[in-house]
Amino acid sequence: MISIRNQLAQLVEGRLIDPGHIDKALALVGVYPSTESWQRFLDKLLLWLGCLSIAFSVLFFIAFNWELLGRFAKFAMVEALIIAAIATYWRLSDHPLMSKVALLMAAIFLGVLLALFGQTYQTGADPWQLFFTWAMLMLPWAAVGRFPAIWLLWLALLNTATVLYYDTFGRLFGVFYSSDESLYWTLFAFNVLALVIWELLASQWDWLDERWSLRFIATASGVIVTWLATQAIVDSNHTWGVLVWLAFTIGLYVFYRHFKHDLFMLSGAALSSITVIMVFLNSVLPISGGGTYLLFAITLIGLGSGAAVWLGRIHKEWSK
Amino acid sequence: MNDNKSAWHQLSQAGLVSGEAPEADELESPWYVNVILAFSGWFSSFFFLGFLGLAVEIFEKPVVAAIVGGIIIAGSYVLLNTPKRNVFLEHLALAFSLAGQLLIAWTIFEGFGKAEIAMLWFTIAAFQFALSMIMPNFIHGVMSSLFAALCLSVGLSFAGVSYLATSLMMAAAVLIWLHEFNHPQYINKKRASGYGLILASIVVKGFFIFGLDLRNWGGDVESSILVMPWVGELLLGVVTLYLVWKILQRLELSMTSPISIAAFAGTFVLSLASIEASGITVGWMIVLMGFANSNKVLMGLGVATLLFNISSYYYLLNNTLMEKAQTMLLIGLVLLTVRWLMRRLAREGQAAAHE
Repeated sequence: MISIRNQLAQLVEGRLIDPGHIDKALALVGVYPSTESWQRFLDKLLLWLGCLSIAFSVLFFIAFNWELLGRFAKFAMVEALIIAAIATYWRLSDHPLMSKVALLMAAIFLGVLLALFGQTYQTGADPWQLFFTWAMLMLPWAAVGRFPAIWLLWLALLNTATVLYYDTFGRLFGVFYSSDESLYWTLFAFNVLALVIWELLASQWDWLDERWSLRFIATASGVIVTWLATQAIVDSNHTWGVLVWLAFTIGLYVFYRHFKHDLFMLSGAALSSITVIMVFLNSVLPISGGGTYLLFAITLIGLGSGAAVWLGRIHKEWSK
Repeated sequence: MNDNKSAWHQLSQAGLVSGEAPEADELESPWYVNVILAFSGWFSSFFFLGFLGLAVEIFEKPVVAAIVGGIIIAGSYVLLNTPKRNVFLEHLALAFSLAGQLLIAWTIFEGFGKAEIAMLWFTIAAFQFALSMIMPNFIHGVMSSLFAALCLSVGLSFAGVSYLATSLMMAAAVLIWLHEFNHPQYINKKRASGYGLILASIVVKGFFIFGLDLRNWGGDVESSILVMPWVGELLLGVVTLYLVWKILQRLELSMTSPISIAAFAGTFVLSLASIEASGITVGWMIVLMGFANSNKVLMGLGVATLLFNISSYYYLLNNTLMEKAQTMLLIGLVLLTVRWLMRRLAREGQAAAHE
């Protein structure tokens, strides 16, 4: 859909409007707002800016006095925020988006509360425990909320907890080769599992069918597995990385080309393939002066244009 | 497509156009496909330029660099001049052009090193400005006007009048955006320059906020009474008032209507506030310019700038947080008062109209 603004721009560029009438035309279709529009706009803008200023003023004030606040005052403030968010969620139940955002804010404030708890009462807990506890505690809210963003936050928390666990312990159940690699394998397995489960459930429940949440998870999985594949090529120690990457890419292609049309996933697969191929080339050819660079350039030009043409063709095919 | 007809429909009903509705443009690729192509284009050109750098010794003499730079830029002009948009080639050409520009900039600094440094920066700014006019590509236009404006402000810093930079750039941006649609053959170039100038203003203002005066890029320059920081804000305030005045003129409003008074009062308050929390005026201006032309991108940029500047205000060390809290509270209360006044005057105006 082309916006009215761009439509007018095209008409003006195509000389289809008399130069003397341009201003009138713009005012007529609303590109130049009317006085009433300006009034409404200024009204809203002044309100937002005024409230934002006051909110920042309160924030600065609290920050200035933070050291002097007693621990109960701090806890009271954070808990009040959580209660306010939940109350908003309850009161605004007929505004689906605003109530869900309120629930998301409540989940975030929960994390703030846990952090404050850990900071005030030095429990000696590990960092990963904060994120893990946060994820577990917010699970009921995620289930009730039916908001993809909250589930995305939940997945992010579990990912963070895993990374921090490896920071502390260096392994998971004592399996796999080096600790770095096994971390990536675990993360990849977890995120792919999440992706598969989410896609399966999305066909059942409409509210889960949020393309951008799925794309986010797929991007995370894709980045990890591409990294694993390139590491495998560079180290030439384990070929598992390349095989799993191949399986993942083929899986992506089959599913998102034929079952669920999603050009973003295919683009990601293309980008990942280009990266792996270039790294492979780099490991196979020696760097000998400018000639190798020229070869790289030409290969990349070919791969890039090829991907463009292929994706463009699919896009046209799906738009019919 | 129906949407193109709707604007046409309204216009033809009002008698401002006649004839058949024009055809809509063809299908555009989604943004993420373009991102992939852009990356591929840039990396390909890096490899190609690496090859060039190793094969031809361009840093021997400035003349060689200038010639190679010129050839590269001419080459990218040819690539960009194709009628059908090919995103990959477009970004390939953009990267080439950037390399050519760097070569030419290097030539100017190496070859004319004895000249006054401000003049060197002005020369590069002029070169970038020429490129923004010549090159037939929107992204290139934005980049070149951005660079031109930045080089201009560096030059002004070395000439001792650094605080003029933002006001000049915003003044130019205001003129361009208020007349966005008035010259049919230059619409795209105008928009590109407009965006470039706005981005440059945001960047330069950001530098000032964090104390990175562009002057410190090379020598010390004495400051005179003409270049106190508040002079810069004052000039900017003048430009903002001009913008507000032009918009009111466009709406054919009298200067004493509630909306005009609210506009001038709000502008004045925010300009004063901007002396304390720098950058608010720039953000406010961008939002106004955006709304005046229904340009959501500009409005978004303006809002982002405002939020960024208010947030970075937190970190400035000139005042204590307590004083900052008081300033923000004052600004907030005044803005809400202006809003209340505007509504009150509007209501009285309506009541008077009914009688």
